[in-house]
This record gives sequence, C-alpha cells and structure tokens, in this order.
Amino acid sequence: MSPQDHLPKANSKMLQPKHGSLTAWQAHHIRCFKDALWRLVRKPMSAWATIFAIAVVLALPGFIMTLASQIKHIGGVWASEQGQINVFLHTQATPSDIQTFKTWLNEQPQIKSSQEITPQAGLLELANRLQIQQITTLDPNPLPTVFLIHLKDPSNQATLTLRQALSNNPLVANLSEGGEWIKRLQDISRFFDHLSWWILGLFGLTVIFVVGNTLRLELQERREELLLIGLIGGTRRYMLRPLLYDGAITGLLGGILASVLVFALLTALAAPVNQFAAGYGTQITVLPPILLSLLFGLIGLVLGWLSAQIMGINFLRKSVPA
Amino acid sequence: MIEFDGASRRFSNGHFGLQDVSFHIPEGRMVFITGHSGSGKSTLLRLIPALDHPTSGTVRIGGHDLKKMPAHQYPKLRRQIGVVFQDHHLLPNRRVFDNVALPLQVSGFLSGDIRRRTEAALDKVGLLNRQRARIDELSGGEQQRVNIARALVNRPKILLADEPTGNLDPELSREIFNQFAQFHAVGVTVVIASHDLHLLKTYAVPRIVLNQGRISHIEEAF
Repeated sequence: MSPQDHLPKANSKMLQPKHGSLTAWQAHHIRCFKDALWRLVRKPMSAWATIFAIAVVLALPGFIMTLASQIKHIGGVWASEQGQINVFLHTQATPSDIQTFKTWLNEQPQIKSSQEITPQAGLLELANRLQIQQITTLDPNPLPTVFLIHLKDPSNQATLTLRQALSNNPLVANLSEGGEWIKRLQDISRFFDHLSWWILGLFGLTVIFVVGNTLRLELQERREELLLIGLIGGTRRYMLRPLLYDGAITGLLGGILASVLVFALLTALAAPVNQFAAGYGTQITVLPPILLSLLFGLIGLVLGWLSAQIMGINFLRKSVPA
Repeated sequence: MIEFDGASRRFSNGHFGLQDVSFHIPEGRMVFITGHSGSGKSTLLRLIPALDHPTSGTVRIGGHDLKKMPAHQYPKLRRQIGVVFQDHHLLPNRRVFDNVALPLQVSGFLSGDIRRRTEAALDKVGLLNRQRARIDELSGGEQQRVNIARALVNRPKILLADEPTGNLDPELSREIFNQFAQFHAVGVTVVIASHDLHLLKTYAVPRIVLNQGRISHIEEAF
C-alpha cells in the first residue's frame, strides 16, 4: 500500500491546486523572502540590533584572520630573504681544513648550493666597494674564507640542526643567520592561524545563539499562527521556510556589515602596519571589498540559516503537533 | 468515513479524556457531539485530524488507521478537513482576506486562484464587503463567520466545529448552524461538538452524547 493510500480518497468537490507544486513552492519562497525583508522595516530595532551584533561578532575573527595571513606573508618574505647563511671561517684555517669543510658542506641535503669566497676575493670586493685599490696589497690578508650557503627550506627543523652544526664546527668563527627568528615568526603565525579558527568557531556559535534568540522571540510571537498553519495542513518545511529566510537574511546583512568593519579597521591601520611591513620588504594586502563582503556575507548567511534551522525545528517539535 | 473503534485517550496525569469510544459516521452525514464541559468533545475532535492520538483503540478516516499513517502524511489529511473553533483562532494582525486565504496558500494555490476562491468563500458567509477589515475590527459573529469561511475555502471533505456558537447570541448561533447545514447539503461530512442542547434539538441530526469521556448514548441511530 503506498503512503497516498492512507489518505481519504479525494472528494470530487474538494479543491486541488491547478498549478504544479513547483510554481507554488517558488511563489512561497518569494513571499517568504519579501516578508523577511519587510521584517527589517517592520521591526527595525530588533532586526538591526541583531545584525549589528552579528557584525561585531564576525568582525573580530575576521580581523584576526587577516592579521594572521599578513604575519604569514611577512614571515614568508623574510624567510626567503634569509634563505642564505654566511659562514665565516677562522683565519687560521688551513687549505686542507677548508677543503674538508667544503666536502662536508656538499654532503648536507639541506643545502641547495654554496659559494666559497676566498680571502683574496673578499679583499678585492672590499676594495671595489670602498674604491681603495691599495688594500688589495695588505699582507697578511686579515679576511677569513667565507662560504655563502643557499638553503633549500630556511624554516624547517633540519635546517635549524644544520645551523647548530655549523656554529659548533671548530673551523667556523661566525655565522650570520636569522633562522631562529624566522622560526619564531612562523610559530607566531601558526598560533594566530589556529587562534583565528578557534575564535571563528566560537564566535560562529555566538552568531547562532544571537540569531537564534531573535528568532525565538519571533517564534513565540508567531506561535498561534504556526499552530494554525499546522492545523490546516501546512508542512514543517512550509512553517520553517519564513524563519529560514529571516535567519539567512539577518546573517547575510550581519556578515556584510562585518566585512565593512574589518575593511574600515584595516584601512584605518594601513599606514602604521604598512610601515612595519615595509621593513620586511612587503606590504599589507587585503581582499578587495566586494570579495570580503561576499566571503563574510556567505559565512553570515550560512550561520543565520543554521541557527534558524536549529531553533525552528526545536520549537516546532515542542510546540506544534506533528 | 470517520470510524472510532474502542478509542481511548489517557493523559499523562492518568485522567481519561476519552474512554473506549466506538462509532462510525458515514460520508456526507452531519452529526452532533454533545455533553457537558469536560465530557471529552474536544478531545474526540482533536483525534480526527491527528492533532492528538488515542492511547488505545483506533481512529480511521476513509478506512485508514491514523496511527499507522506516517507523520509526513498528516498535512495532506488535514488539508481535507476544515476546522471551526470556538475561540476563532484567527490571526489578529492580518486582514479578513488573508485569514481566509491561508489554507489555500498552504495547499499551494497561486495568487489568482486564491483571490477568486477566497472572495467566493467570503461571499458565501456574507463578508465580502469586509475583506479588507482587520480582525479586531469585527464583531464576535463576524469573526466566527471568517472562521467558517476559512474552514470551507478549499472545500474540505470533512468539517469539524468545536463549540462554534459558544460566545454568540441565539439568533447568530442559528444562522451559523444554518450555514453548516448548507454545507452538509452539498455533501460535506459535518461533525459539530456543542453543549447547546436547546439549539441542537431544533435540527434532526444524530447526536453522540458523551459523559466523562465515554459515550453515554447515541440519539437517532444512523
């Protein structure tokens, strides 16, 4: 027996819609959408207070995420700049020591390439830079042998171990390197990255509760109407639909407003932040406002819709007979 | 059409709203359910559109056991049942037209059809000229007529009325009952719960008399 067989056979006099259910479904969606927009005018205080609350709640993780991505960016630029270690050997190092050291360097997998600058070449370069040709005749040559090491990945753990090995090598007098700082910066970047996702999660939940609370009040007001709709044959989906539109539109507008706040904040801070970033040969890059609005709007819309879904289903389950 | 077979409804406090009730109302009949307040009339009516379910026994509509009907089929069942309440259950923030049109919107009619059919229903209860009025601008009698127009606007197979004249004066009550009789005359199965014995006796209609949740007797067997 099909489920339809459970129903009383339709009376020939009973009205049935002439149009396809798709047309009616579309018409109801349009009506719900218009009603949700109308609610912004009909109850401006309640609606816009919720929208502003969502905007503030979404703007903070949005701002932190943007900041985290900038730190990552600066870290990347710095890391690529610092992908070179200058190794200064002791001046007492013999040609044989230098050859041994060179062989050892060539065996290290973290090293992309290395270049030896002999004391003579160093002195010549110095003389060229200082425009003093006389110093090329200095005897003895006070400069050490220098190796310029180009690393494969300046930030990975193996490279840090290499740095450690280099500084412990008795032939090495000095190292010019920024690896620890890169590592620290990237740790900070990772921390901000994790933090921003956690904050987004927590604040996303807050959005769900904020929207949910507004919709709960709306549901209480519409309780009689929903009961009546249930009584005259409205499905749960039909009852939920206006609520989903309310939640989604509230979330969407809250998200767009959040993007405006983030953009305004970044614009306001652009000058000092860019000055800082310029020190690392980069500058702050923010998504274009439209893309930022789309992104935040989408997040707000999904959270608003989700909130309406949870709140609506819960309310209907408790208050309206199946 | 409507069949109760040993139906009982026991509430969570242990009280029986309905106890071992059995009867059968054939299609197209008009029946009164009567009894004192608290005798189980409203409980009985709520079982017909599956707004509530018997704790034991069965209720069948059109031969099908409502207990076995999947919950997602209830809306389709309810679209074929018009319900008139004593306290109207009208939406005060909407106009007369919108209140009456609601079942058609829920059933998926388009705006042109909704307008035509709603105006026809309002015309039938004499409120066509009041369609733009707000509900709180209407008298009690007018509100009840809006209630009736809404229950009948999509021509249901079954019309249920729970104390439909509870707050109305005798003349208006008679008018409302006459309207129910007209719908019965065109083939609608009408079940009216009322304790107004004086009014009920003026109609030659079978009466199921309830007392403390049980059927005390059935007058004019059908």
